[in-house]
Amino acid sequence: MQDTIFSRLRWVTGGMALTALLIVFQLVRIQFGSNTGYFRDLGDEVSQQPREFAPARGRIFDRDDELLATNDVQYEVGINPNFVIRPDDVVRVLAEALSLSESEIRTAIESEDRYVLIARPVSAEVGEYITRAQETEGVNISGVSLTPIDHRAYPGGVLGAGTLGFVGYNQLNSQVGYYGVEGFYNDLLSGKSVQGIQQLVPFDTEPNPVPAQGADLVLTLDRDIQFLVEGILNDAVQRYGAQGGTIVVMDPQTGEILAMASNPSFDPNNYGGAALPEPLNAGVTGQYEPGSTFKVLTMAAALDSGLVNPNSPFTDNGVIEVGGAEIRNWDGGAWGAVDMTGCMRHSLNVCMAYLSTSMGANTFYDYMKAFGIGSKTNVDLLAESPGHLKVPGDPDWFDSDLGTNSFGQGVAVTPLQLLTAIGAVANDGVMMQPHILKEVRNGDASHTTSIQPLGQPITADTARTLSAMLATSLETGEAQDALVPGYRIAGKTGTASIPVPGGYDETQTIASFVGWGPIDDPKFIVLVRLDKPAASIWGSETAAPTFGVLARRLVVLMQIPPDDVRVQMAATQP
Amino acid sequence: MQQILRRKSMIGHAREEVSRLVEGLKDEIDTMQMDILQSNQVLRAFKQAPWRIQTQTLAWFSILILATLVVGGLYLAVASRAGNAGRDLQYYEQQKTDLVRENDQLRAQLANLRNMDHMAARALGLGFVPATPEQVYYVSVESYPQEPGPEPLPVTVSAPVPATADEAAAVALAARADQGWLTQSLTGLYETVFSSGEGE
Repeated sequence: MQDTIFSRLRWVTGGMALTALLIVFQLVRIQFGSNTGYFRDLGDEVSQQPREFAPARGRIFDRDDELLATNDVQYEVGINPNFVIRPDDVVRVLAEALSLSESEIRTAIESEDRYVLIARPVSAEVGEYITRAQETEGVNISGVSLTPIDHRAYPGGVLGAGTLGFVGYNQLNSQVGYYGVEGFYNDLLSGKSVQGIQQLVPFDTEPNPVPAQGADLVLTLDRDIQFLVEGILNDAVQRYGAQGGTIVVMDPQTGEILAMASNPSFDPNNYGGAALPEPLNAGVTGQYEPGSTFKVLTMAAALDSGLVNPNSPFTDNGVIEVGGAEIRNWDGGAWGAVDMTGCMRHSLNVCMAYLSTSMGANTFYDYMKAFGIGSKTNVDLLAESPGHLKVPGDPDWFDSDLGTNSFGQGVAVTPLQLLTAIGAVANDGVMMQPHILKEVRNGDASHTTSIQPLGQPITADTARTLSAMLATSLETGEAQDALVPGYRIAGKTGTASIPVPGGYDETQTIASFVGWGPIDDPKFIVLVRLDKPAASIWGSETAAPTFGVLARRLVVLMQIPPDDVRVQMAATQP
Repeated sequence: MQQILRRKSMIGHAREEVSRLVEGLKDEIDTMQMDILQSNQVLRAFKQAPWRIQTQTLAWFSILILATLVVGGLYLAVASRAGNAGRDLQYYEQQKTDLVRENDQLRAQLANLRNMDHMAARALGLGFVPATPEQVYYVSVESYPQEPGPEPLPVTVSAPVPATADEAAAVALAARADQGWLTQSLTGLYETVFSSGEGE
């Protein structure tokens, strides 16, 4: 009996030893055998998670360090049906928080899927509401997943929206900047993400890799001026019944863009909420025929080439023939004997056509090219249009274009392009590179952009002469609403016909005004453009008063003393 | 003679006595050897007793287990500490992420409170109105330091005014064609921004 028991025990012991040996053998085989890679991968699949470590997107400030774009948190709300314990609680809380129907949430809870997306993105407030519900005693919403997601926030809402652009998500759910500054400087703002492995087993955990942070951008925009400009533009669009409009404010001495506004605009915090305006940023994308504001460049060329001086006489017969086409004045009248200042004051098309034809096509178009017409300014904003300038030799150029181009017809510009060109007249003949980036900051490092001249199409003498002519013509012409008491302002109105198939729209115009001041030391140059104003088609009655309202506020905001005070101050300085 | 005989007799007795002693000693030695032999046998038998072998095996096994336990315990202690450190690391990484998010959230809230609509509405609510140029008085202060003006324009020094419009157009087109400003600025920016951030 005893022998039998011992014999059986020996068999059991042997069997267990054999099993143990087999297990050890299998362990050794898994660890060091030929299938090591397979088993390691299998283990890694459970314990590791490849992940992109993306840096926070850089913030955007205005020139006074006021936040224009920053990051905040939104949430993705989902349900893991297998973990839902009290469906009624889940339905009640989510329906209330997300304003969804109860049946919708109940369907998600009853889903066979492991995870059902309920809403993305939801605001931080809603996320906090759900978090509070999770912590409330007596409420069990287990199975509800609340995942924080990075979100771009624009504290100013629509303020500077077209210029800033917006941030959306690509197919990989990564943030990408579109349009404006967000689009142009997307690489700088987004930094460099790092691909890494997130260890789920604490034993193997290592510090997360640190990606190169997105840089903060300081823009040349002034938030106060931008706010002012947008308010005045919206008022003007409403007051004059315009279909839209654009205002750009620039420092002609540096090329810094101080404000750029378009109407209609959009809210970058909710860019998907309504159709985006087209174009998104008319300041750099919306090309148009400039009309009479273009006469500034024609006169600049005529003066600079030595063809005329401010007092050169011209007899206006009311019509001039160029290339077989008859060119008439805006009012169809003949203004008789005038000088060049009078030509600008009365905005005479005939006079301009006379000047361009007298200069000759080569000289005229060389000047226009020197002013950058037909070329992009290379401003650091996305989606800039180059405008259009036909020149002799082009298949679509005709002899008559030399006449019509002189007063801004048959030529297309963007507001910024025209402002940059006319900025040369304001700035002693030097055309400055328009730009919107002032400084880049990344940690302790910073880089300040330098101002850059684009060229000098005309001499300083020509520029000063023309500035004085335009100031005089403004003071004695039809656009006196643009004047600012105490400050000498130069400017030119424009009333441009809108090209339509087969000719020009007979009833609607683009009214505009370009002005700058104070002319002896210009601190701002402004372009106002109103699209199809219903109250009046004339720039002098719509755009010019809008400029006047803006300029009167600008001199205060920019702390520009009146001319007499500045003269007095200059006299007292050592 | 008698003395000699007596001595011989004595010697004979002595020899017999010695012989008896020797025999006795031999017997004793034999007995002792037998005893020793028996003792050895007992000892061997003791050593080879099954219970003694089991005890020894058990002892060795216990020592092995003890050693394994010590080594395993040490390993577990180290692994536990590493695991705890890893868990702490995960916790702090998560806390860092949460704090960064909270910081962003607060910054955004602050910016929302400071946005122009709020500020303008508050200013108007407090009775402020936008100033007009006529309401602003500038006071001229002698020798008051002036803000520096814009940087001097290099073009006025380095790039003389083109002699002809044709030349000016060529200069302008060339400046725009090679996107000099953009290229320079962006190259400088990327070098500045990302050269120090890499490899962290």
